[in-house]
Amino acid sequence: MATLEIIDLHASVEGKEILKGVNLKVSTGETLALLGPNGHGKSTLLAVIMGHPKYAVTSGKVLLDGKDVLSMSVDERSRAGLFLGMQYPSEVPGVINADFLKAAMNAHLEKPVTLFQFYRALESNSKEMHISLDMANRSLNEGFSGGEKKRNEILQMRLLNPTFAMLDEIDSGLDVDALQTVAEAIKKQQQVGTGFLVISHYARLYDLISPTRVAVMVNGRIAVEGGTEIIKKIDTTGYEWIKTELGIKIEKDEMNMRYVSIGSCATKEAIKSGK
Amino acid sequence: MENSLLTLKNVTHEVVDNTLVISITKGAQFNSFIHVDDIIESTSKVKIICKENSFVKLLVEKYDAKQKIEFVLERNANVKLNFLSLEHNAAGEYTFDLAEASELHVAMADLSDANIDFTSYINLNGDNSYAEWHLASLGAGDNQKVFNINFDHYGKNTYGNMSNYGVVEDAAFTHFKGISYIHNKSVESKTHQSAKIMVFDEKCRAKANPILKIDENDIEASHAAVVGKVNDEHMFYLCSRGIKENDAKQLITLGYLKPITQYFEDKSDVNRIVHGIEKRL
Repeated sequence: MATLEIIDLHASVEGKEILKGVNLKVSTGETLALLGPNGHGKSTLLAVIMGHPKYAVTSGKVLLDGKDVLSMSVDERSRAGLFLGMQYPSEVPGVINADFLKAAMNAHLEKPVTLFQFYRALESNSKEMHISLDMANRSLNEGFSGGEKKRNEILQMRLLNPTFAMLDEIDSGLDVDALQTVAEAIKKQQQVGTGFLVISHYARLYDLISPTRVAVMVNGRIAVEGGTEIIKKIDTTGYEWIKTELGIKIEKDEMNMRYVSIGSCATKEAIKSGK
Repeated sequence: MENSLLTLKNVTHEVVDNTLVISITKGAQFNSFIHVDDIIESTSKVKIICKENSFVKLLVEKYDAKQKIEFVLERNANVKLNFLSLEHNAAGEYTFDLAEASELHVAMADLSDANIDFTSYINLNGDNSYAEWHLASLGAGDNQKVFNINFDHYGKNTYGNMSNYGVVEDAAFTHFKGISYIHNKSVESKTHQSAKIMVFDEKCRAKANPILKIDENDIEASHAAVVGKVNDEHMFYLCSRGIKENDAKQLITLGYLKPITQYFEDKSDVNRIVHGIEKRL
């Protein structure tokens, strides 16, 4: 059994602190549902674990089986067994999807795959994801629909077979059938023991993949951990109970609305006030 | 590929005022690309006349003299001209005169470890004439590469498209420039310019400044110039799948330059281009 441990993690973007001491532990075989209001650090947490260059870690630790993840480069983290299924996968013009997938697979192997092995793996996984094989010959994610991009993310997860898979709103942009396909692939990956950290706003995905635990992130910290009953609670009543039951005030984004009277120019007002 | 242009049965040649004049006869059809290095090396001034309805495919590989080459495309002629530059220095000047309904397709793969000062003038004289120009260039070391690609639209409903992709590394310098000029009375003409250069290192430099000049109202034109580093998001995406930083850069660069291969028909040429890119990265 492997563990992914996040200890008192602080991280900021452009000087603004987003993660303010996150503590969380996931083991292989578990599926942790990560919920929380928008703008409270869920996506940031996953991006920081994967090593996105935009975020600066100011203190804290991320350990994968005791190994220091934060000192690894992004590609080393992947080869160590981490995977991030992104909310907005990049479109990379000119890079052919098949070349990319093959390079990614080879990066995880000591001996490069043969062309035959690669196509067999690609074919069976494309079939499982209901992706047509000729998508492999197109530029990476370029011109893919939202649903195709997400299925391509899950296809990569299946090909790379990670120890821990982090999925960031993988269900957004998916229709009912595609959601079913994605959930089936996640379930297959759960069966081989991969640990999951899954962000979604909807109980629909969670119903299909049966999380083992739930954590709620508020104000850049884990506010509460518990069982799946929390998902139901949030799905029906929202996040108000965090305040009433736990006494945690949910911080609003600092971008306050500006009041401008009709007839004046909002842009000019903004320039004048210097904000 | 063993054929020389001068020995083909549809081709005649003579020397006029120190210029080698080659005529490709009316309606001649080239089924494969013909190497023209031998003639281009032999003299500094060459004029190639592609007569009416001819269909011509030429490949230039060793253009390392200070050459002036003039192409005349007569009515309805269709010329494909490919440049494959793997090693040589080049300082060439190419002029193309296009008559009514003629078509010119140029593709240039420049992977040479050399300095280049290349100029071309494409004159779209006849109505409905059409010209497209594709370039992929890789500069490294202390290479200085300047590509000056110009289009002049005179006829009605003419089409010009320039699309240049460059990658610069080390202390190299690459410059894409050129003027696309739609002259007065060249109505319904379309001209497009796109020049994109990716810079890899602190010391390398790049400039992309295509210029549009327009003297007619009823036309369509666009131009784009981009000089920038590898996109951080793209790098993160590739690396997050375990691909090492250098390999990711190589994939992205290959993706930038490799599309030029679609204009090369011969599989061995395509392989040489891909190999040339990989060798220099």
